[in-house]
Amino acid sequence: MAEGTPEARFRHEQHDFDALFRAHHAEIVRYLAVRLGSREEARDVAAEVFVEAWRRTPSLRYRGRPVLAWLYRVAANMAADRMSARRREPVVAEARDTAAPGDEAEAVLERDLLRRAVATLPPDHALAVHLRLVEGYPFADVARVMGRSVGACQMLVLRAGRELREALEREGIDAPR
Amino acid sequence: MRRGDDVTLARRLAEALDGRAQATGELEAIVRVLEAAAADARFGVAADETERALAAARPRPRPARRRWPLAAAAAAVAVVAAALVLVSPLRSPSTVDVQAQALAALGGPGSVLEVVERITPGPGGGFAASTRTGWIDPARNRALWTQSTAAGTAVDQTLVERGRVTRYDPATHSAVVAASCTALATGCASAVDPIAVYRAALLRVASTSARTVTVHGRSAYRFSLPVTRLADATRVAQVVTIDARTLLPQRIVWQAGGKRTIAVIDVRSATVMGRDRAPSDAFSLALPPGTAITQLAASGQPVRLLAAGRISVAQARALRPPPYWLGRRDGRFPLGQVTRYRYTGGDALMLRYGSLRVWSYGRVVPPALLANLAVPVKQFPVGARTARLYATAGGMFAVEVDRPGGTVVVIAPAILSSAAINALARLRPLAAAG
Repeated sequence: MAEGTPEARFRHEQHDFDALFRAHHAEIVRYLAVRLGSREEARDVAAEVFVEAWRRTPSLRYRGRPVLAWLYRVAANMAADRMSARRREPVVAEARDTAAPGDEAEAVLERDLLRRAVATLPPDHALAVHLRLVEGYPFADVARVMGRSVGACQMLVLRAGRELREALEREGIDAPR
Repeated sequence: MRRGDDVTLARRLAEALDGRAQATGELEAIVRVLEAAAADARFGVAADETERALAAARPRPRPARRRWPLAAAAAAVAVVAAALVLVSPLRSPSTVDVQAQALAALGGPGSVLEVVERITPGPGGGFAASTRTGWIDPARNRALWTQSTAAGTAVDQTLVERGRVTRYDPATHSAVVAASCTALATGCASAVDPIAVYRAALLRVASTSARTVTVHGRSAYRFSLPVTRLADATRVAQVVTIDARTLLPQRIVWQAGGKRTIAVIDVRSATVMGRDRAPSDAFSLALPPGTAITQLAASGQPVRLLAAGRISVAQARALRPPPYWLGRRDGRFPLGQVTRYRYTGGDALMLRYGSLRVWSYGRVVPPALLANLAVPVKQFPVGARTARLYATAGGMFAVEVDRPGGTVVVIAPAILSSAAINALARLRPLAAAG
C-alpha cells in the first residue's frame, strides 16, 4: 500500500474520488468477477460500488481501516444481493462453459471446478485469498483491510486452500495442473 | 489437527507464499491450488476502461471540495503513484493470446457493435437462411436486430434486453414479450445473437490454440471455443475464424454433439463504436400502434395477475432485487399506497406519491403498463443509461429507465411530465435507503 500515515491515506482517498477510483477500480472488478462468475456483471456492479462510494465516502469516519475496506464490504454486499436475486429469477439466456472439444476438456473442467469452488468460499476466506494472492498485498495490508490480525488472515488463507483442495478431491482431482 | 498446529501451518503457508520458505507435503498442495485459483482471477482491466467507468460513475461535481495544500497534494500524488505501482503488475494478463486480442477487438464495456450477419443452416438444418442486421451492446446484455429472408423481406424484429425478449412479427402485426428466451417456441438459439454468444464464450475461456489459415487470400486465425449452454439447455460448440488484422469474427460455425454443424454465421460486417456514437434508437423496438401484444412468462405461459395487495415499506424493503422509490416524501407529496402485484413469472411494485406513480419490475412487465409502453416518444440519457419517454393512451406520461436489478417507470399526468423526468434523478433503491 501507499506511503504516509493510514489516517492521511484515508483522508486523501475520502476526498479525492478520482484517485480512489483509479487506484482500486481494477481490483474491485476482479474481486466481483470471482464472486459473480462473470466479468461483465462484475463491471456493472463495480460501477454501482463506486457510485455508492461517491455518495458515501465523504461522510465516512476513520476507524483505523482504509477506504478500501469499505469498498470491499460494499462490493461483497452487492455481490451477495446479486447472487440472491439470481437464485430467485428465471435462468438468463447466458453462455456457460460446460465442456471443451478435444484434448482441453479435462483442463477446462478443472478450471471450471476450481472457479466454482472459489465462488462458494465463505466471503472472508475469499477476500483474504483475493487480497493476498490475486492483488498481491502483503499480509500486513490484508489484515488492515479486513480489520483482523495478520495471524487470523493467514489462517483464513490456509482454510481457503484446504477447502479448495477438498472441493477438487471430491471431484477426483488431486491438484491443479 | 490441533489449533496450535494450524497456526504454525498458516504461518509457514504465509512464508511460502511470500517466497521465504519452501512448501512441502500438504502445504505444497495448498499453495498449488491457491496459485491456480488466483491465476484464474488475475486479469487486466485496461486503463482506458477504468477512465470510462470513472466518467460514468462521476454523476456531478461534488460541492465544496476542500483545496489541498501543495505538500498534501504532493503526498496524495505519491499515494496514488505507490498504489498504481502495487496494482500495475496485475493489469496485464500473464499471457496475451489470440482470444484475448479477439475479445479486445470487440470493444470494452462502453462499446457497441453494428453487425450484418448471414445465417445459413447446416446439413439438415430446420430453418431457412436469413440475414440479420442490428446492434449488440454486450456490456448491457442487449441486442436489437431485424431478420430478413434471402429475398430481403423482413420477417421479424427482435429486442433482447435484460433477458427479456420482445419479438415483433410485421406479417401478423403482433408481438411476443417473453420473460426469457425459454418461453419462445423457436428456443433460445433464435433469441441470442451469435456474436454475443461468441463474446460470452471468449470471456469465460482461458487460452486455447489458434491456427493460422487463409480465407479469400487473407490471413486469419481459427480456433474452437468450449461448449456453451443456452438457457433452454441448447448446447453449441463454436469454431471461429477471425481476421488476422482486425481480429473481428468472419465466420462462426455452431456445432452440436458429434461436431454436427447446425448453423454457419458469416459476419458480413461488424463495426465497433462507442455507445455514445450509436443512434439513440439503436436499441429501441417501437411497436406500431395497434400491435397485438402477448406476454409470456419464462415457462411459456401467458402472464396473468395472481394477486395484488398493499404492503408496508418494511416489507417492500425486504424485496430482492430492491425496488426503487423516492423516499418517504417527494417534494410536497408523502409516500402513499405501496402495492405489490404478483404475476405468473414475476412481481412488480407500485408506489404512489400524489399523482405520481413509481413502478419497479423485473422480467415481467405489468400488463397494465405493457400496452402503454409500445411507442417511445423520445429517448434521453440519464447518467450512463437511457431513459425512454412514452405518451400513454390515457393522457399520462411514462418515463422508463433500466436500473440494476430491473426496470423503473415513473408515470405522471401529462401536465406533470417534467415532474416524472425530474423524479428519475431522485430514484434510489429502497433497500439501501434506510
